Amino acid sequence: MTEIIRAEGLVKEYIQGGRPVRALDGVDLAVEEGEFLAIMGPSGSGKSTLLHILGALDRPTEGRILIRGVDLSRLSDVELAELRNREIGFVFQFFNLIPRMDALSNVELPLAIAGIPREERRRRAIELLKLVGLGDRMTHRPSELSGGEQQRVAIARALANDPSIILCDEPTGNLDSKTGEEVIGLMKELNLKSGKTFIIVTHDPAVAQMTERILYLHDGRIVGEKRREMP
Amino acid sequence: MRTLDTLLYALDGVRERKFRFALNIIGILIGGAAITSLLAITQGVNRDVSEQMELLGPTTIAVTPGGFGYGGKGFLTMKDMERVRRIPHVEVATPIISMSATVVIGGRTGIVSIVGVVPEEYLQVIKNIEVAEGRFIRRGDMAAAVLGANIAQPPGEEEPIVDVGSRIAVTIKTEEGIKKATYRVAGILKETGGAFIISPDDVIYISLRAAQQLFDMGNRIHRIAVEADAIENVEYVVEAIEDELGEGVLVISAGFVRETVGRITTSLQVLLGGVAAISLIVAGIGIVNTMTISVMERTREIGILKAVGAKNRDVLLIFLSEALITGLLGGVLGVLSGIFLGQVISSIAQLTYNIVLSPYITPTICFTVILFSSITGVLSGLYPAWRAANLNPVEALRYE
Ligand SMILES: Nc1ncnc2c1ncn2[C@@H]1O[C@H](COP(=O)(O)OP(=O)(O)O)[C@@H](O)[C@H]1O
Ligand SMILES: [Mg+2]
Repeated sequence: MTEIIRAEGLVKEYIQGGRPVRALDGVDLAVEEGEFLAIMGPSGSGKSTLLHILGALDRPTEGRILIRGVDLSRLSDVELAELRNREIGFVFQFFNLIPRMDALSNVELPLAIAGIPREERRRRAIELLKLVGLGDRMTHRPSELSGGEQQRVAIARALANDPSIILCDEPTGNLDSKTGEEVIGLMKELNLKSGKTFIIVTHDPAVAQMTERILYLHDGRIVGEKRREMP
Repeated sequence: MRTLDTLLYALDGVRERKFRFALNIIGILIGGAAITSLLAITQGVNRDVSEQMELLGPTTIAVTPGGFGYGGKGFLTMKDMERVRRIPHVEVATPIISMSATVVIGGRTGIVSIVGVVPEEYLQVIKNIEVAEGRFIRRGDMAAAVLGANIAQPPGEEEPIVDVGSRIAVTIKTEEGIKKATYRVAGILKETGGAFIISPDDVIYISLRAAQQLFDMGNRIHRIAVEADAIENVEYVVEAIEDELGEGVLVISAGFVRETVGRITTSLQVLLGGVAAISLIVAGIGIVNTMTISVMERTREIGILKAVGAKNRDVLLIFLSEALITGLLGGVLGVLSGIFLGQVISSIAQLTYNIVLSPYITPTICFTVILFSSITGVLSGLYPAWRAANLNPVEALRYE
């Protein structure tokens, strides 16, 4: 297996009320391509911060991240944006869809940013919405969709440019447990079928149960790891 | 992101905030309309004057008593005319008497200018006079009059109110009392569209001698119309007349009038345009304000855009496009409203001051107004767009 993400000595400090606060305090991490990984930890332990840094949305104060061997600290902001666009998909707790746009347009957004022509964009968005089981909801706006459906749109959007890494920040945090399980089931299916790497930040032990490896984060440090053979 | 997609995204963004967008558009529209109408009106004045000058011809010179009585002599004399006639390069110099009188024509009474001329000389200078019916007056005519087109058939009338051969009664007040005269209509003129100093459409011509008698002028005349032999000699002739007749007279050539009016309208344009431009600036400040609020409201959206790979430049261009769309649309609507406003202003001027303004919309005016409106939009969008582009995506996504 090839290593897709490597983080070395990640530190992230925020200044809060004039004082530095360490959200990450020396995180080392290696993720193999095609892994289905959970990160667990109490609120405020730095899970979101870690995910943002792994996703090139933020830069660490110290340490470095390599994605497929490329050191992100050597990339410009423009190159990081391109990396987010093509190599990384984000799924958030609050879905983060654009309310005025229908499902299709939301899924097309990363494709439009990549400069892909209209027809191809549309074709691909339709394909992806069918893949996540929303073939009959394509022209609905987020407000016309259930939470589970919105999260499926968000997953379709994350898949738009066929990235190899999908980062999910509490993707079930706003869903009932049954819907949450379905969403994680969909992710697992995508992981098995296409070999995409999933990193899922979660509170929910039931969600973590569905992954092959769990990392435990506490006060900005990785304090434990659990591996499990998947059936 | 492709340019078209950026524009479409921006369009989608403004559609979501229609009311605010409409307010911004109205701001730009008002400025644009003000500028358009003012430029069109001054441009129209310029064009009208130039056209009249064309009728007159570049070699015509008018001599009038300076100051129209205010410190000027109020009159010229036949002797002045003879002196002008002797100046080199003067081809024609002809006297004109022009005074108002109460005239009864076809049962209607009105105040009209009666103009006494030496026909064959006058027609050499004012070349666009053509007879529609009958004939022009002759030198010896003492009881014949020729009517301008608007006198014979006032605007709004379906038919002429008088025929060749009928009589008109003229009444004037003199120091000795009321004086009356009757003339036979010898001819009616075609419409000329106007000329220099005197508009042939709106006057009644009689012979110089008849006018001298009617107004008891003796040797005095009101104007001298002069024709120089060549364009390059006009300036010389103008100066020679000024030297010959002294400070008391006003010597005007077509070129001089055109130049003066051009200067006046240009400074008016700068002045009024500047005032109108202030309204554009105010509109621009409004855009800065509302767009900055929009950017704050759309913090999360900007975070999403960046999370899915938008570059700072993409975000910047999206917001600048919104500003551009506002400016451009405001400008286009401003030009359209300005065309309408110009008509309204000229109607009001016509009704209340009896001033004829004909707004003249040129492609340059439209283009300039739309360009400036667009620039105003883009400049106003710079700061909010810059803020949007530089939002930290992580902060933006946390934003509730
Ligand atoms: N922008 C920020 N400014 C200041 N402190 C922050 C900021 N973002 C996160 N933090 C702090 O960093 C710590 C980790 O936050 P976060 O990564 O959101 O944790 P989690 O996702 O595990 O709940 C918290 O103490 C939080 O208050
Ligand atoms: Mg979090």
